[in-house]
Amino acid sequence: MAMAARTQQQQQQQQQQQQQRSVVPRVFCRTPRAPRRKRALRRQAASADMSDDVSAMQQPAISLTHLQVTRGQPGSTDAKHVLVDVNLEVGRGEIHALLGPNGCGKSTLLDAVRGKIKPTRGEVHVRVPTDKIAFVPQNPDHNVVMPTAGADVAFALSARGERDEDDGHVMKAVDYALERVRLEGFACAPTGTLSGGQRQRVAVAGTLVADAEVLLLDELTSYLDPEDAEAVLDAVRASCRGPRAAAAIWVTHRLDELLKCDRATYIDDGKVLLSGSGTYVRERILGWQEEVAKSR
Amino acid sequence: MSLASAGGGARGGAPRGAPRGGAPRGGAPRGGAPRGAPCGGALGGARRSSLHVRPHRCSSSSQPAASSQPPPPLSTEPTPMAARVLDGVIGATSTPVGMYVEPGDRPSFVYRLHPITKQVWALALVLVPAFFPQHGSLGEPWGVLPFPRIIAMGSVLLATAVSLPPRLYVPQLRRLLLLSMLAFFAVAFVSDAVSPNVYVPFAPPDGVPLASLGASPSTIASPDGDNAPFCYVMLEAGIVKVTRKSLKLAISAASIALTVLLASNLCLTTTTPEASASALRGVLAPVRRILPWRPARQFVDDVCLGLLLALRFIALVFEEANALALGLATKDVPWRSLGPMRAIGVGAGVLGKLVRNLLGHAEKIAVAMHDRGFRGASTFHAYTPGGAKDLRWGVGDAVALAVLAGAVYLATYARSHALV
Repeated sequence: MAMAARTQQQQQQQQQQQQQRSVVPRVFCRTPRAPRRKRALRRQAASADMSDDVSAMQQPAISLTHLQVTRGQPGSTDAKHVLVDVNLEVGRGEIHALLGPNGCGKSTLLDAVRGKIKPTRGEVHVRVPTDKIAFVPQNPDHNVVMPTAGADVAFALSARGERDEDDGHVMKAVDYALERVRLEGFACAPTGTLSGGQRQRVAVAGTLVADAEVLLLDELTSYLDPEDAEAVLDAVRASCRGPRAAAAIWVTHRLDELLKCDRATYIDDGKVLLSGSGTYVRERILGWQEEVAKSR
Repeated sequence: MSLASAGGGARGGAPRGAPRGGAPRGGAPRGGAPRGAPCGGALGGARRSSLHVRPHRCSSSSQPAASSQPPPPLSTEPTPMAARVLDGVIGATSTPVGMYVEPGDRPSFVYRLHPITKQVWALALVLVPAFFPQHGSLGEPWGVLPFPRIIAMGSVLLATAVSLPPRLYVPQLRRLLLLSMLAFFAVAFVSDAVSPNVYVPFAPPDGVPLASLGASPSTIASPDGDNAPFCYVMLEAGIVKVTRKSLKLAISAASIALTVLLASNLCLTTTTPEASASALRGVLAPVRRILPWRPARQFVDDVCLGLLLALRFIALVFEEANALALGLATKDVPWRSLGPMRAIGVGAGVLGKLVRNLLGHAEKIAVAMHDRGFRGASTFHAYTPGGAKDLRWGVGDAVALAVLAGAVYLATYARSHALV
């Protein structure tokens, strides 16, 4: 019964859409209709694209295979291996935490995913368009571009030339994103007067608005208190669980945040030491810390 | 930032967007005095220093709280100039100049005006006095005062005082007055100090001594005809010479500088940057339509985007200068033993670092813009957070523009009838 009702609703919606299309006057159709053969080719291409999309959705959004990054001339004495044989996969809708001490190569890994660094060896596959990759650096001053918080959140939409003329969709998107990061009512606030944590949240809100499919988040919570950090992590989770099913790499030093991450990887000295679910990695790291404390 | 918290640092009931260190006079910038800063050491024992003027701050970090000993007497030695400059930089950067301040519950009338109205008013207050002749009668008692410029300056001062709370505009006014006083002294001391070389292309008439052509007159007969000579040279000490002409020029320069700075500051303080850019785009829209070629249209887009980025950069410059100045203050630099030349060297080094840091910021912001999808100013359309509210024409705009038109008409009438 439910299936029948649903199909009936779908048919009604299709009929309404057809009626709406028929109401549209002919003058708005600016491009002439393509010949039949071309239309057939387009249909074929569209079906091929759809099948590609389905297979792309099943594949991980980010995959790193035997990645190696070397600073300096490879083979020379001053060459330093920043990343050594790193294998990593981040699926769609997944938050993957990246941990490790300072200088272990976390930011370099993000740079490699963004395409800013060419790997010395190995492969980097990011299965989304380049303009769908969003990166939020640790210092929010390097990411907040506009003088007012609302305008900065809407930067990605403004860059596409989207205007808030009739439907107010930009305003709605900005208000929604600011609400997600607990900055309601800050749309008109000058970014120069915000604190570091507030600016960081503005940067995150700008990423949420941008419809990004890959989120590279470099120590976002270093400026935030625990409550705001949790709110930001929740907002990122919502973006990953939403219809876009974004894939996120979340660089952090806080073990508590691993509980909200799907998977986690611990890197030290450029090598992957530990990888698994967030809970598992957290427990293992806590265990190491206890062992170290006992040995002292 | 709300006006309620604009000048203070009260975080208790204030909104969270309070300015970074928008402290009133005497208050320290955000974060207060550095914990490790010695009492009067970093700034050379500055009595005037906003960092060290409060003994309880210093005593809280350097002495136990339970100590009942009286605080040591403040040093009576004069503060080194370098420490004063450093103190001035720290104080200047803690005052939000040229940055938008959100209105409180009851915004003043300037907030409700359309950005174009404000920009037209600001432009008129600078341009209209320029049409009046500079050469008043120096012989008259009030002849050195350029009345149109002083009236314009007074109008902006009045508008600022009416539309902004004192705790916000008084520190701003103090800084802007300092800048205009610099212009005043520079023009007063220099403009008539050196006699220009006069080349006479023809022979002077008989009876006129050649030596009198290039020199400024020291005494002139009063134009009233009562034969009472007045002093043209008001001050002369070495190469410094202040005359009535240079004084009038100096007052003009200072009043113009203060008018420009105050009017710009009032516009920027009461208008969101995006609304300003949108209004500017509206003003320049005819240029886009009239000029057909692409560079002209690109020029308009670039100007509007450049304005937005410049307004964003103001805050960054203030923050960076504040951070460097605070860093230098906590280093306990012995300014007195350094001497002036080495102090200038330290200052130049800090200035170079400031420029390097700002260029680094600019580069990273450019990269971030590209990463966030920016592909050119032509496709970019800045979102105005205030929405249509900020760009709505109202009765106040009509009144303001009508008053401006009346003032311009009166000024023109007064000029044509030689009333001023």
